[in-house]
Amino acid sequence: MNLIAGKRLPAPPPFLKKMVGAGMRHCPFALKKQLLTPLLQTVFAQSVADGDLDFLRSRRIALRLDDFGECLQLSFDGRRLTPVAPTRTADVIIGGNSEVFLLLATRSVDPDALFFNRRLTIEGDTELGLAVKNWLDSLDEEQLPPWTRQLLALTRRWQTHAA
Amino acid sequence: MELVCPAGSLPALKAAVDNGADAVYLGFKDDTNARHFAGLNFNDRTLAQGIDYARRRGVRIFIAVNTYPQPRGWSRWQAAVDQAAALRVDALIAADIGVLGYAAEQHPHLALHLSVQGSATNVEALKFYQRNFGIRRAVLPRVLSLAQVRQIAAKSPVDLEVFGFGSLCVMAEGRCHLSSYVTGESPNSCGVCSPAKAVRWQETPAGRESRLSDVLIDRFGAGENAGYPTLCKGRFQVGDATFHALEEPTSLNTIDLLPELAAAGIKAIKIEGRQRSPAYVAQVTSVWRAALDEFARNGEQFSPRKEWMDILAGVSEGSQTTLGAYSRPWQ
Repeated sequence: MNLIAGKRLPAPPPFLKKMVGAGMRHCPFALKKQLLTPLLQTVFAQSVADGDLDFLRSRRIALRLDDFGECLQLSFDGRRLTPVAPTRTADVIIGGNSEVFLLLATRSVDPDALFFNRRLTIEGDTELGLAVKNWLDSLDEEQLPPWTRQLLALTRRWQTHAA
Repeated sequence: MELVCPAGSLPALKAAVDNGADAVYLGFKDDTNARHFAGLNFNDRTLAQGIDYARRRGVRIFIAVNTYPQPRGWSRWQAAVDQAAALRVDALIAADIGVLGYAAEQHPHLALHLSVQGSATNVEALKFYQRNFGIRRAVLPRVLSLAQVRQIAAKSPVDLEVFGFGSLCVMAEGRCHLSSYVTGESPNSCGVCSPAKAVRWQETPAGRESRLSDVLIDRFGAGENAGYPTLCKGRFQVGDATFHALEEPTSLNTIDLLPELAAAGIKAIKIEGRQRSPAYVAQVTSVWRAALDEFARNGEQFSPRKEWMDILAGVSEGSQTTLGAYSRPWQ
């Protein structure tokens, strides 16, 4: 499991990327919001309950998937973490290829290493970006729903084989 | 030698414990410790869980209350010391004389370690802290050469802990004012060097620019590794040249020196990085555990493995890892 930033990162196969990219581009925002909101709600329920997302109230973070050219903005309204329509620039924009985000999700690589190696970019409000990073780092996997944990375990196995 | 690992969060603590740390060090969610970043550190719930997790596996817990309080906030530092004592942690790491005095008087059973921020670089300083506060251990500043470390260890009245791995800076421990010069806040009294709210990164055609309170600290061209903008590690124009006038961004890696450090009588190796991720802690702890175990088996025949060095290089800030101040051939 020793994935080192700086080496070639395990990437999803090109056909999968094309499919997902096309899906994201053609999906209207209202549908994205409808699909993602309940998903975000179950995955991060503990964080909301603990008040760990309060720093995101009325702030916007954007996750920019560079290989898809797609950007997702998120905010917290006090009860739920939801996608928001990109009516203004987000306070902080975190950018990288999809494989970088997958590595971050599975905690296979240190985020700072990816940032130092320029595979991850943070622009805008650095304090907010760091708060997001620290919040994600502090998530105990045991807080996540079982299906999420299983998905992460599967992704880790694939990453080890694909590396 | 005891392996002392950083824990900025509960997952990081578990990563340290699971990968073979002998002790973990952590802080509360406020400015009583020198890693006061949003979202970092432990609240009451994660503290209780973390301490329980570590204890069940025989791993010791140190709590850092190592910043310098101002008169107005003093009750916060008292509360932090009281809480550490109530939790019956294995040691409190402190630097300020008032904090040490309060802890020694109010909680005589609480073991005290002198933080690196206390900057004790000679035997007389160590004797002073031991005589007045009963410290059991001191963390040596990273500005001493190996020869100096040996000299101090030979006469030290207390156990010594040294940094073995992590980011380096100008290391004016407990005294650095570069951050407050630019941002108004220093690690000494506010618990943070180069606070994130003063930091800006911008991707420009010329490269990635890093700024601290709008002062341009560095510009990284394509292929150059970037870093967190601290004033000491910036590149500045001096005359006709632009270079790292104060300090080069490098990381410390002393695996090569394990035999020498053990021979000098060092009791513990400290890993820097409470602000780093669980992945960092897992990788660094497992490498150092393997190194210490191999040293214990092979003694003088000990030789670091290439895969260890590769893993450590992968999570290091800057372009290289060095022996830092330990190597001073001119001495």
